[in-house]
Amino acid sequence: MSSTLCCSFAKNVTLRSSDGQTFEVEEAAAQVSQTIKRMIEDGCTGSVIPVPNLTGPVLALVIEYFKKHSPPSDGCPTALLEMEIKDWDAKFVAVDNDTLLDLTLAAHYLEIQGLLDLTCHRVADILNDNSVEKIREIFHIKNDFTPEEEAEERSKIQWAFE
Amino acid sequence: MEPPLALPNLPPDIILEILTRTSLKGIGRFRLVSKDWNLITYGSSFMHQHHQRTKTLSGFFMQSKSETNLMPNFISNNNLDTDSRSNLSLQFLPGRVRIETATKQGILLCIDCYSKNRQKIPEYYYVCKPSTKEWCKIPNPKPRFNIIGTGMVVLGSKPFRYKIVRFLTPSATPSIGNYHCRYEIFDSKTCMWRQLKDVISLPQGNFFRFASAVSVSDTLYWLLTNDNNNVLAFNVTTESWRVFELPFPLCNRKYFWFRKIVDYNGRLAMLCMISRTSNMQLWVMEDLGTKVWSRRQTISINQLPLPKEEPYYFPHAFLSSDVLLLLGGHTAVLYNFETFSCIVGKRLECGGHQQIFPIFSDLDKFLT
Repeated sequence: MSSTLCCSFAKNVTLRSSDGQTFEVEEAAAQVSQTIKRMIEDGCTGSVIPVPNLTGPVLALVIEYFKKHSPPSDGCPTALLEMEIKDWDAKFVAVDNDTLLDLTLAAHYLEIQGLLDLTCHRVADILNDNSVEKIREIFHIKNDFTPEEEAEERSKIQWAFE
Repeated sequence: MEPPLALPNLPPDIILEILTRTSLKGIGRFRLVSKDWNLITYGSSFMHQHHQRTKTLSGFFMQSKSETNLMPNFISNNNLDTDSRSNLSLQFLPGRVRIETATKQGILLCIDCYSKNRQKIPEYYYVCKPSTKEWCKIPNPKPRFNIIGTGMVVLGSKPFRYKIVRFLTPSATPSIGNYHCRYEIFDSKTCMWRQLKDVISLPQGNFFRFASAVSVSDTLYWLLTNDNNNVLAFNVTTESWRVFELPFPLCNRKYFWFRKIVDYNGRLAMLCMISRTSNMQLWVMEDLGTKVWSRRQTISINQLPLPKEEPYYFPHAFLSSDVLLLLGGHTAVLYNFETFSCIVGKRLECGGHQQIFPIFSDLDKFLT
């Protein structure tokens, strides 16, 4: 079949992170990102695609995700494959909190809906399991309530703690 | 020392993406994290996405005050969802019921409909959660006097614990002099009612208005009716009460021809209509300690694109910081101030005064 022949010569694109690292990846895989897909469609493929919001290590992780989630060449994902991807996804986001937040931001910036769902779910689970103080620490959030305001807010939710 | 800012602050979009995937019980906690998070979680776009992603729902039960044989109605802006879950009813209970009171967490206290003329009143209440269709009976000891108000507060979730308070008075209409009432408390921990010796002595001319209570933290608030209007606050943890005066102009009945206390973003607030106008003001009690109120919004209701079936509408309660329930005659409407649109309109079988019970409910079982 002619289409098979065409796919065997998969085109690559080069992505460059904020710190100047470059990565080569199959064009079909990179198009998991809506942002990159648009850039390719706009004809940016000839040169290197800059991804200024992502550092090298984060972009490397995102490319791993691309590879796992690129559309299968035979076009029909099996149930077995889906299960395998689900397992892989769970392991993929079992990372430290800072990396997880970096991945969340990357998914948002690159418009990767699957990765955004995955990371946000994971962050939500972490939120559900942690105290207010710990959440502020994880997100690097400064507490802007006065002690009185905080006490008042806290009294409203006492029922959910006890 | 401030934590190092290793990350740029997360954009609001992402915070919304994350928080809309958390549990309903956790939201209270996330409101404590920062003022930004507090604000986000009270908005309608947050609530709408949260309901869709986590299978929770919010809305109002409404029941007519005069037509006591009609089952309560439910109005929700989840209605767009084809899921029948978004349309709660009380049909799962064994008989026709009235709602006595409800908590924000979606727990209702109901009683079988009965004729006021009949001597025999039901021997039990139903405590139920319409989103899970669970219910149980609790005793309804024959009241010593007329019940003039009932309130309920959830005090714990693991294990589930709540208290109910009901106020009783020897006569239905206030006589000359101070108005006295007694109260009884039900604690789910002991599953028993206690009659308290304490007598609540309301200032001269004050009496209950038969409106549903508003709860903030573990305190229930009722607007008392008299010339200058006071609020009765009852703390169910300490089982203590106090009456406080509303400041000017909230206390002035000539200035406002309609006033109602409501919950706004977890604060005690008041919806008022300026006399002889259709202008609504929202006042919020900013500080429970000093009782300082501030005016947050003024809205001209007849400028809103509400259904034309009714000549006028009154504001009744907030579903989120920007969605308001308005009632006019036989029509109930949820209006969104962010999108300037009516979300849902509902035809009521019986018009006139309605009791409103806001609920924010998950699908977790409460009976174990």
